[in-house]
Amino acid sequence: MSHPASRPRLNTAAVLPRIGAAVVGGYALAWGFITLTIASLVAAGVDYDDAWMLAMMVAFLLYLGAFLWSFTTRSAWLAWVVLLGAGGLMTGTAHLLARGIPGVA
Amino acid sequence: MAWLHTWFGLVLGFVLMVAFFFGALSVFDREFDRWTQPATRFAAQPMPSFDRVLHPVFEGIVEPDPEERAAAEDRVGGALPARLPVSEFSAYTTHRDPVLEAYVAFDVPNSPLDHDHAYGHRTIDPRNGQDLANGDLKVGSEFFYPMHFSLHLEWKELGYWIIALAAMTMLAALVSGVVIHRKLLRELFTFRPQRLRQRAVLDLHNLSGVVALPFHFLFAFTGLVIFADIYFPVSETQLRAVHDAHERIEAEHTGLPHDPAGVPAPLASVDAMVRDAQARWAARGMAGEVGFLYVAHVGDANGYVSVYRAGTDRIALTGQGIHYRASSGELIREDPPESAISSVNEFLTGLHLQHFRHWALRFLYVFGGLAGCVCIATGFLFFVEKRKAQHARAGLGGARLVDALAVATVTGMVIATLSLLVANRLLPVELEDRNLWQKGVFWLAWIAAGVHAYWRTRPTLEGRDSPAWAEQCLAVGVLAPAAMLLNWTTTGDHLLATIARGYWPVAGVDIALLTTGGAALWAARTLRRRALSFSTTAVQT
Repeated sequence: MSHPASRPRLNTAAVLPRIGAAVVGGYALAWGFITLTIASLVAAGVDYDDAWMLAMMVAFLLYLGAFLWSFTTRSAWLAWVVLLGAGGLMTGTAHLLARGIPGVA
Repeated sequence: MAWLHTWFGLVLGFVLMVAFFFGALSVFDREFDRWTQPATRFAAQPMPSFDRVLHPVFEGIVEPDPEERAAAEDRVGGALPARLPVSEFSAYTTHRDPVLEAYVAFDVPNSPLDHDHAYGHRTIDPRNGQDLANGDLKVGSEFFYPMHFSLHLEWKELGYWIIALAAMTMLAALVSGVVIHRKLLRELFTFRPQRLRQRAVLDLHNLSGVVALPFHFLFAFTGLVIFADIYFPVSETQLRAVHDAHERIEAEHTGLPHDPAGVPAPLASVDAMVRDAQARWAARGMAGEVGFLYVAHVGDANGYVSVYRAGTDRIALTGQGIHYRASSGELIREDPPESAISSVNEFLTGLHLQHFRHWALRFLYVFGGLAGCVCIATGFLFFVEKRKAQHARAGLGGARLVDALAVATVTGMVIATLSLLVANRLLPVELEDRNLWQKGVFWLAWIAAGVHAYWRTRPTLEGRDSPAWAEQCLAVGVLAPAAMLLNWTTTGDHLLATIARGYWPVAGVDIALLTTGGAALWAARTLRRRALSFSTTAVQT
């Protein structure tokens, strides 16, 4: 690790997009996961508070996974596309599901 | 992964250090409250009678606290009427609280939030209902504790978000640290203080990281879960309709009205309800201390009273709630056993907040928190030691800047904390804005320590050891025993007296002060000796 060639170097141009993907992309993924989990569980008859708690506990672990993964992908843009795409897809599905839940205007 | 560990650890390590240190202090927040508020140095009290003690206190709270009003006006986007309708009464206590916090929730009209409230509160002596140290800064629970999770940056809840990013980074640093090393078991038994300094520092970094790894992971994770509602406000935004529908169904199901009826109604004897609740707990073989008492829709026909059992004997904060109609005292409902998911959630958050009675675990938390501080501090030291010679040759200031920030964060933070305790004992009781002065001393001492750290780390620029560490250790070594002595002279509660009386909240803080001072003086002496021996060898060669 102390060999000069392998020493971690700060290359801003290469690194900023990855940090962005980790923080913002990870957040979007977690948001999508939370809303989809709550909406689908509530639609399946699970209590809202239970669904909320389960979604939150898993979401932070998922966020952590996405966060770390953003630094291991071949390209930062891949991380951006996958995380925002999956997050957006889940958020949209949650929105549609939520409209079908009884009692929701 | 190595890159991630180094740079994220460096940038957010400073925030994490604050979170860990003040988290460790917050484990004993009530004890710091006692130390800083001599008038409240008496035994913890149970929840007092509602009818005789609490009710008049609640009636006497006629408006929200000024900060609460300001925050509510922020949410509404305009001024609120002078008089706000009273909505709820509540009081919470634990097995470590001699004084009681009584809260009144006022309705906030025209708020974008559902059931939005602004709170007014008073601190009372539960033995007689009189104000006690009301309005005085509770240094432990109102200053150290919020520092731990909000950095006292209330604007737009910015502090919470910075802490969250730091917690997420902590989790990432732990996982990436494990990926870097992989030889966890060996790290646990490896510490070679006599070896090269850089090696010894790295050993200690790995050791402190690994020994408390489960603790660190669990606390960063549960910390995020505790404030999940702030970080992912789905219930107020995207899923608001689902959430509100659930609340209406829930209210029908439980029989606990969601909204007031708009019809005035009197309040029956709450003490009778509490006695009934205690009899019901006793029938289930449970201890009968009340932890949380709550009156919803005050003065309304839909009003109800909830009595929750204290969390002294289990992980969850409170529970086994029993609910009564406020106007008649008739039983509405007993909470059913928690669902599996809710039990897991309560276990995780309760484990972090630790309001239950378990002193051994309480001390382990402090050691876990301090192990985190050691891990982060040695991370900084390793960063500096590894680079300072190289930066000196290249004429770079990076190693020095990190060294200065490390000194300011590690010893500077301790100096600021001790200065606050010293100021607490020195500032006259009748001083106007005494709370502000105490906080001001804290921040000014920290800034001064930061300036000193930058000035006295200049030798790091040339690849040498800086005297900043030793000098600030010396300051800690002077301030800590000074705080203890000032406690003695201003209150008469010296260590022998408090130990003889078995009054551990104050004795414990005093012992911690002495230990801190002793350790800091030893560190200062060791650093100074080493600096001397280095400079003599340098002269000889």
